[in-house]
Amino acid sequence: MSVTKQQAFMEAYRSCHEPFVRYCTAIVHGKMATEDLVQDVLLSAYKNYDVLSSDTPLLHYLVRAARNRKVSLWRKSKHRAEFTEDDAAKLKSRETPPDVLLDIQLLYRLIQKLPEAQGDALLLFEISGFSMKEIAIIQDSTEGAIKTKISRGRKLLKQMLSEPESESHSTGFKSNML
Amino acid sequence: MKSSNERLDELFRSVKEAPIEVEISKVEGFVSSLPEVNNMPADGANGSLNLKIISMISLPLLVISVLYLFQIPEVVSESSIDELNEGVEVMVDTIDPDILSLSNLEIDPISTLAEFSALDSIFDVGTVEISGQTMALSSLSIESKLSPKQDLLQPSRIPEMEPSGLIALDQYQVGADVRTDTMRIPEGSQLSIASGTPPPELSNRQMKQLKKSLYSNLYSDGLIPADTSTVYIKLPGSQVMINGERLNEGLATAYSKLTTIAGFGEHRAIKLSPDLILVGDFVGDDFKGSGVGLFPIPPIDTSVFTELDRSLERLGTQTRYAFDFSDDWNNLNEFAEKVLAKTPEQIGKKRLLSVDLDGDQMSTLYEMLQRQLLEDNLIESETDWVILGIGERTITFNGKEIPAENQLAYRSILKTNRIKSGANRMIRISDKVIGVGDFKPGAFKGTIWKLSN
Repeated sequence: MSVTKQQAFMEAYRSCHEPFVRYCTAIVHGKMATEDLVQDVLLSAYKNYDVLSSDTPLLHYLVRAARNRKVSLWRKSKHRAEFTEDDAAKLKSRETPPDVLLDIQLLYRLIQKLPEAQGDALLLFEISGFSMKEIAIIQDSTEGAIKTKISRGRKLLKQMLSEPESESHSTGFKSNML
Repeated sequence: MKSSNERLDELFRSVKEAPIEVEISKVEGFVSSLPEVNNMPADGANGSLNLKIISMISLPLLVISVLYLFQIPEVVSESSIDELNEGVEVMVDTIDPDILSLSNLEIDPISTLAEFSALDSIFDVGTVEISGQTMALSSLSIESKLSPKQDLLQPSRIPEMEPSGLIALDQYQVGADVRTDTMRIPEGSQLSIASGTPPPELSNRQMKQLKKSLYSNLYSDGLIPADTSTVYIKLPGSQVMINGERLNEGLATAYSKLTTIAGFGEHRAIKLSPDLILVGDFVGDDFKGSGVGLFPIPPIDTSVFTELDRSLERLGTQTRYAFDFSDDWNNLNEFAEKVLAKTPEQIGKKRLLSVDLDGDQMSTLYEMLQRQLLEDNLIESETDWVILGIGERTITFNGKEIPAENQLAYRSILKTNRIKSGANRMIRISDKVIGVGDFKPGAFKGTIWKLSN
């Protein structure tokens, strides 16, 4: 019985893994360890897996749970001010080029400066690969509203990218792309 | 130059192409470690359930537990302080079936009190060694404090010497209300344990805790009129009986749990009095189990040994009895009084707690001290008698102050063995016995250990 549940859960989860982890990485960036959030959400998902309604995709549940839990976990965890050496070391160990590391740092930092709804929609759309319709379901909104959020979010990001380097320096970043 | 739009797309692409932080294999491992059934705690608890938090909780608890364990001897001493009247704390352990006992002993009124705190102490106190085998002579009864129904060890009920060659120790004449008898187990007799668990071998601490817990519960449940009453608890396995009374179902269940450590059996019982606790199998006058209690040391008439010798001669064995330790102890104390007669009064705190060491600790202490004393040329051989005064400022050897440069080694030994200084605190060693504790005029409180050959 239990093995069946574990197998069924993993089978359903496998396709969700990458978008879910990317989303978690983005929303907890600089605040806590991705692994903690992933583990916490997975625990909750596994527990409730039997009662998840068939019309609720597991990925939607995972994203919602991650978004809800990040706040409480963030309060409980020690606030991390910067993209830490640990984060960099993890990515380096996976042979990520240094310039990509900087890109990741930069993008996550900028997204966190966006209004929460915009940043969330942008993350789900651009990084996790959700469709507008799916994001609307997840955020309990309409497709049109999501489209607007994403559009406005992108616009704000572009503005931030166009701003002089001094601001980037002030936030502790130095990107050769700017 | 790239447009902002292109830059943004490039950034998103970089992020999407970057390896993810948590690999799927990790998730698989995590999920496989989850409980099989859906019995996990509620969401609120889940929120904080991860290894970091578990370790944050469990590590401090572990550290506190370890610290507490290191403190436990002091705690035990403190908790049992009310029990530590001047008297002998006697451990009664398993009595071999071929136990020997003594008969017709005349015991003089108590002159010296001592506290035995180690299981092995009583083995030595009541041990007869025959052809290299050690047999325990140990039996406890409280003549005046046990009601007839509860008193299993009435002297009058102890039969005379058995024709099987056993020697009965009975008919004591003791000047106090507490007396000791020897429990006798007929040769070859097997206490019935077939219907229960083997007689428990409990530690000093376990028994003291059990005693305290039982008294507390019995009194609060109104089963005894006072927490100093004498209690006899039968544990046959089917029903707990307290002083001959059956308990109702609820209490019976509670007391069954409380006395789990004692096991159960046809003859299994716990005897409690303010002075002692005995846990084991009581078959008539015989006892097999564990006990701890406080008793005065009765100076033993030497005729005992004559009788013992005769009896053992009949058995055709080479004997060495250990009951003569009392004489050794008295002689040692006489020697101490002489050597300390002209010594200024020892300076130190009046200690509330006695020294409570077990057999191994006493052996270690003895060996360490002997080595140091020989090294310092304070004694010429291990048979020399030693009176070490453990004052707060100075340590004396046979009434003379040990040179300051040598005192550090003794302080170190004392610290290792967790012996503090005190106004009356001393270590007295003869060739046959070692005692550590507080030697007040006419009384001793501490631990005595009989030295083996």
